Amino acid sequence: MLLDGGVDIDDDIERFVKQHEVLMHGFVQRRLPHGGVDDVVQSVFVAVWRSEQEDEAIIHASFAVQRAWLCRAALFEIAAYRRAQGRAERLKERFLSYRRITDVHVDDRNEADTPLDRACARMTNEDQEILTAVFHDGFSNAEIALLYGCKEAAVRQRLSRAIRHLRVLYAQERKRR
Amino acid sequence: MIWRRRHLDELPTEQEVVELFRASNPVDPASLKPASPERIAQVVQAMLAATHQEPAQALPRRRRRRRPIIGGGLVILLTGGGAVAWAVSRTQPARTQLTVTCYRDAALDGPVVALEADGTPPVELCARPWINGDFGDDSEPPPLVACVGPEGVAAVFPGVSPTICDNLKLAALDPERPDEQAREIQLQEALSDRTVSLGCVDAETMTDLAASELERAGLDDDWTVVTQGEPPAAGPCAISRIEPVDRHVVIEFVPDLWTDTHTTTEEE
Repeated sequence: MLLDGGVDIDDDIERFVKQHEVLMHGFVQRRLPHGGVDDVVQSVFVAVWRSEQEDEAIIHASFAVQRAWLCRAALFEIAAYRRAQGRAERLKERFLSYRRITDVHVDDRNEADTPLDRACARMTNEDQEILTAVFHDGFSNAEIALLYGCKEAAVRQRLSRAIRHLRVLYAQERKRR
Repeated sequence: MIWRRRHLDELPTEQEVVELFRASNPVDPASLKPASPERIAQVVQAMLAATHQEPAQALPRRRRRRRPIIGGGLVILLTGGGAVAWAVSRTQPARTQLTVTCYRDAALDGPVVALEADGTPPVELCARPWINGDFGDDSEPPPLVACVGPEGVAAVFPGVSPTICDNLKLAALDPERPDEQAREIQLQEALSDRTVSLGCVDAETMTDLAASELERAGLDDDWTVVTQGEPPAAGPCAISRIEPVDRHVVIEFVPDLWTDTHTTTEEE
């Protein structure tokens, strides 16, 4: 922490974390409902802080921009976490196969059990992500455009397509019930 | 065509799936509560730790933000050198005692690097910024001397003579007496905190406060409370600061700046 004249920047960091921690917690938890949230949230702040030190933009950016940066970093961290989890599960499966144990439940994720869950499970990640961002996180189209680095028109198009897909998949899954 | 029509009729409406999807939110925003101070401190520490692990990124020499704490001048006036400790202790009380300040020059107004203490002796800890090049191109750290800084935490300066601390009106850091140092830090923090939070108080109140904080820190045997100046001359409000070298808590008087300071800090 380099200071000139005794000025510290710890208060900046703390204010930044306090402003966004709740949002980030919700954002990550919606995408990782089965654990790892605290670790990922912490990684997000660390990752953004590191990038901030390269160009020092984020601490002084507007709230909306800060949020978009954090959410974008969170998507990367979530993906990294899932990959790590996937590797761990594959290792576990391999280990279990070596031990010839077949009656152990490896995947502890909840099975999709409602038509909506099953429909969502069949959607692409992109569709799921935009629906989550709009209807769970409550982001506006403009915020999502900032988050994904695209135009609002593209967001509207993606959202419309995702809803259309969900309607079709939901209808199919409801029939299957 | 008839089949297509019937198929479309079976589709749920857009509104229906949207409402269903909205209701499936696994994390209700209303259920989210602000993170605990411990959790905030944990994240901040992780960020700071990342800073120290990657000094090349963390401390680019091309710039550092010089965003002054608004009203900081007033706070410094109110609390003496303890203002910095206050600023940190107010936001991260658990970390304040774990900070070591490394100075580039044998002067209090030069550039510094603040590091989190990790159990390493302060002099060894402060060799790192020199090795990392944070203080210039010299990778070889000079001889270093540890004092108790104005903010009450360990402060390390380049030099060989223990009189460096005296010259800077600081106490030398006594590694053999960590308990006393911790008590001094506790006293400094408590006084800084109370001085700022109480606002404008008279000399009697501040003297009582200093005495009680000395007792609480277990320093009431060696330390004394002394008063400098008179209320009407300098101002009506009593403030306190510590003089570790003399083992004094000094009561001084300043104009009533508290309201302005408080407002400015909040506006920030």
